Amino acid sequence: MLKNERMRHQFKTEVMSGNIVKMMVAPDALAAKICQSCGAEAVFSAGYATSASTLAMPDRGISDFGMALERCREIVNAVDIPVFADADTGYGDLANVKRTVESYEAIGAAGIFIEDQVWPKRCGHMDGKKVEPTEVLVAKLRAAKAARKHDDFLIMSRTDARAVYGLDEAISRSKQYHEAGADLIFIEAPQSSEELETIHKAFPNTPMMANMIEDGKTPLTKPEELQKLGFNIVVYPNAMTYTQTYAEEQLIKTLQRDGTTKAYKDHMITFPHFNEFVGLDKVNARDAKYAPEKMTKYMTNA
Amino acid sequence: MTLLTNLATTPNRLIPAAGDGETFSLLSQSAFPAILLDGTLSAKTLLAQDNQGLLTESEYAKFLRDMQLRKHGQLIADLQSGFGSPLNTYYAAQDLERSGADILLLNDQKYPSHSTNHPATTSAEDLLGKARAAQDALENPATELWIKLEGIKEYGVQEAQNRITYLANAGADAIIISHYQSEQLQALLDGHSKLPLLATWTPDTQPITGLAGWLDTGYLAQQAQTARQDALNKLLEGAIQYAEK
Repeated sequence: MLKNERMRHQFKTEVMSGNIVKMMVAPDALAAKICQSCGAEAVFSAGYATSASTLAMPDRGISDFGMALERCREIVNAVDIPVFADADTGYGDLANVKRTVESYEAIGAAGIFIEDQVWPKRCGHMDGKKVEPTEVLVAKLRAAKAARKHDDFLIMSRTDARAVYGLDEAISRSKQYHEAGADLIFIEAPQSSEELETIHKAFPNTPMMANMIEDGKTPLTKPEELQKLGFNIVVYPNAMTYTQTYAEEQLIKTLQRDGTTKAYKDHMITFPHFNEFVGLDKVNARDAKYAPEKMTKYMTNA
Repeated sequence: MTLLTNLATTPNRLIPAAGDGETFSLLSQSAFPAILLDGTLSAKTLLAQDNQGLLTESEYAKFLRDMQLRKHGQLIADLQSGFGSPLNTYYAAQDLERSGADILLLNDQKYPSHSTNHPATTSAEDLLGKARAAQDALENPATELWIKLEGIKEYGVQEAQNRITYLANAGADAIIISHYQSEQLQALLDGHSKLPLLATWTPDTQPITGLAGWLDTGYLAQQAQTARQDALNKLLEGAIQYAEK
């Protein structure tokens, strides 16, 4: 089984197992590799982190399909765990959705979500969101389902209607999205544990995702509790971005204060440890493997 | 069915080359067994430069990924001379396969590869290192590695035969002969190559039997360029007449 097939199959199996899959959003390939080394079952490539890491800008629909796809591809190539992706609104109309699905499937993502916000979108926990009529995402989900080549490339619907029209509308929309072909359901930014429970009751048999954002609208809830509430995926979209930003800010302040980075060194990985982590030994071994003197064994006319 | 299996059933078929989306789309709707996304033609499209060596692997791979979504048959990717050392070749081959290549075409030029009739070629050891690295990088057993030998004018038929044998030992799947004279190509065919042989093709190429196939060097792109030049001339004439009025 090729890697792409293996990753799709693995992710679907994990999500459908009844357990809860915990995914950090990785801002880049290095972050994804850290997740993998710490035992993550899967990793997420998502807009808030990609917008921050590629543009140093907020998640307001400025970063586009090309940036998101390329970042996701880099992450997929860096790890051997499934990578799920945030495909925003599908980046346009139904033709764009088709290209989005084909492209993410081709680079080896395990699946994507598509949402019902008006483009340019906002982070789901920002104020001022607007959503399209339900029919828009219904049509996009049908197009997405038709465009995928493999049934185990999972398609998740995301609605941002909770913030605009309330939870009942968000649930109603998600039911229509599920009927249109969404394999997984994501209702963005419920505002209490009771709302999380209400969502589960509305979708007792459909895998769902919860989004845990520090300082966001949804109360931070442990995975075990989310699992009891019926959620199969929990994602931490901003934690690595915030941690990187904080750590780098502290480093620069230390350097500016002391004139060296010495006082911050305890917060750093060491030179040999980092080289080991990114596989320098393996690369060097590979380089040596194809040295000219090792090729003479092929140079026979026998 | 792999491309070589396909060609074995119908020898002497032509595999066309593309370097732009419009040509690729046209070819993908035609009955060719495969399409070569040629490095030189791609450099012309993406960089407006007549030198494949200016096109980096990541730039080319991005284009390949876009084109692979439009393919209906097999796709040959131009690995050039491996984009550096055998180590670079390993990662380039891995990336091009992940980007949709069914066949990788590695040439025996020195890095950086050039679009010229008299390219400088690399040593057999370096070529073998790159061929092994490319093979080791491939994940899908169905992906083929073809090698384009570009130096027969420089190193002669005997060295070409040696290289073919060495490359067969190293696991390459087929050989393309480029920048050749018909007698040289015939001599290679008479020598009972250990690998399927193909040759590059232009409209002036003399027919020769016994090859597994022919690889186009950009016939459609040349015709399109001629047509564009004619159109430009008409445009210039029209513009001048309009100015005189």
